[in-house]
Amino acid sequence: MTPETDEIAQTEVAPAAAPPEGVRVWDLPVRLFHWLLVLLIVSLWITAIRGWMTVHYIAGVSTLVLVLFRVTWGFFGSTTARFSDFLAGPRHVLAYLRGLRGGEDQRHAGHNPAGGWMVLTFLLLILAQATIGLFANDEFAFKGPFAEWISGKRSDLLTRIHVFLFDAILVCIWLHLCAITFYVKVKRDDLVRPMLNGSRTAAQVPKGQRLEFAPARRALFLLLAVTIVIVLLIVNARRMFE
Amino acid sequence: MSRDGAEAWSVKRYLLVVLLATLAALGTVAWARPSMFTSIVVVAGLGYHRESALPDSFYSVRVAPILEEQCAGCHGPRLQRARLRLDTLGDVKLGGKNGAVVKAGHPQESELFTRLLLPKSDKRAMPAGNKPPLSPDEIKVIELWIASGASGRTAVAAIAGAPPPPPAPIVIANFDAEAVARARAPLKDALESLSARYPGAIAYLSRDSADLSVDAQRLGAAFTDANLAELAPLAAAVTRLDLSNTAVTDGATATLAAFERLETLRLNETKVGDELLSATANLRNLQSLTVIGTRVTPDRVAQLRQKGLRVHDARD
Repeated sequence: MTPETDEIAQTEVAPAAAPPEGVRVWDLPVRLFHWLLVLLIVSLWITAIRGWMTVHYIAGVSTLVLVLFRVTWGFFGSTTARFSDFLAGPRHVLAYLRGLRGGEDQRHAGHNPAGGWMVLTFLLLILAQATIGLFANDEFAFKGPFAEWISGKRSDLLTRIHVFLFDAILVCIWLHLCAITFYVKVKRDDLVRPMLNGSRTAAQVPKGQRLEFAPARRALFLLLAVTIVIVLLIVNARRMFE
Repeated sequence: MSRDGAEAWSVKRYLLVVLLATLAALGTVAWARPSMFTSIVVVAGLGYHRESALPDSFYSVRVAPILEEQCAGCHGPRLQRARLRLDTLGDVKLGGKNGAVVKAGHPQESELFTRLLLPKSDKRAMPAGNKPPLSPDEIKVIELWIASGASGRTAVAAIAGAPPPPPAPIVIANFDAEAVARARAPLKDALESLSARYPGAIAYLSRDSADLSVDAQRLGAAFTDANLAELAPLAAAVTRLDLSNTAVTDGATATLAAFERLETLRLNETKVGDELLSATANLRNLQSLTVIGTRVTPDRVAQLRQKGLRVHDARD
């Protein structure tokens, strides 16, 4: 099922002029993913500090499902959700950053070239973090569902990596917030509101760009598929490696 | 691209705000995770003071053995659970990934103490896992140490109310069982037959030795010079011989001379005299001789003492 074959996929075209009404750029799955991820990371941080490992585990698995869904949505989702839309080569990224410095009018309906790589970095880091967490332990009584597959020493090592990776994620979150602030305050380009309501002003979107939106049921199907795979993997963890 | 028409920040203003916000964030992290910065200081070798303990301090004598026995398995050189080591005072003071575990003077605010009080059902309870909890005396020792200031210099006597230390453990040294068996082998037959003849009177000194102890005292007057002569096959292995209250006489002088490895000889309440003691000239390992209630003369005792032998007689 792809946007090309999906009959109910919708298309939004940015007007050539710049009317005040918004142009839809982010689909609901991307926006829900973003804000759910924010909630999950905050809850993961709190539960790790407080030692609420059962909640931490559930939140961690949920994060893994969510990120894997986002990866699949990056291939089968709407235009602005696709990796092919926002992952540019190094030259494009450098040119974009140079243009940013020079105050050029650079419009992107979805992620800009620099932001695209930040998204990929986030996805990879969180994916690694959530996966490693399955092999980690809390150094007391809690073990991840896959921790039994490996030696205690390796589990301890992965636990240390788990802690280190979270610091790396925090640094990335901080860079992300600094970048958002730069766009909002210096460039006067509000990136937050579109992530809430899905729309940007026509002035923020390249003129005439066609954006296709995948149907919500496709997102539900992918989310369900990823959930089933992860849950089956965890439930059968012991049996598979015995 | 502004919607609200507010003035855009300059890059300089933006950088200043980001710098201040970053410092505030780092400050928050430092407050939440003090160990992170302590670790950086230690790793960078920036002079973190690693406190050491005096060998006769309360910490070294009373606290360190408890931590070594109960905690160092998971918080020691091999494993550092929660990035915490408890095998030296410096490490105890340094704390772990969640910061300090000891707040000097405040045991109730020190995790090193409070975690010992948690019920086993609490996963933060220490020692973790299936290890048995510390005894009340051990917990009391740690509480008193922290309450007194958690120092490595406070003397044992300076902390009142500490429970008495546990008795020193009996240490059984490792020994070469095969070597012992080889040394005992030549004695086996003779020992079996003589042990059957004199039940309970002959025994090895210890499990790691082939030396024998002969206690003829229990046989009393029934044990004569002839009986002593029967022990000749074992004579070279006997290091302790108690002939007290037996019927041994000076006639056993030649027989006694064969016990050349004797270290301790008891002749209390026997009829032996100076003549038997002439055999001691041959007993070069003899260190202790007891002759209470015998006919041994004071002059002979004095002579033997001059030779360095410890002699106990009725005049002691």
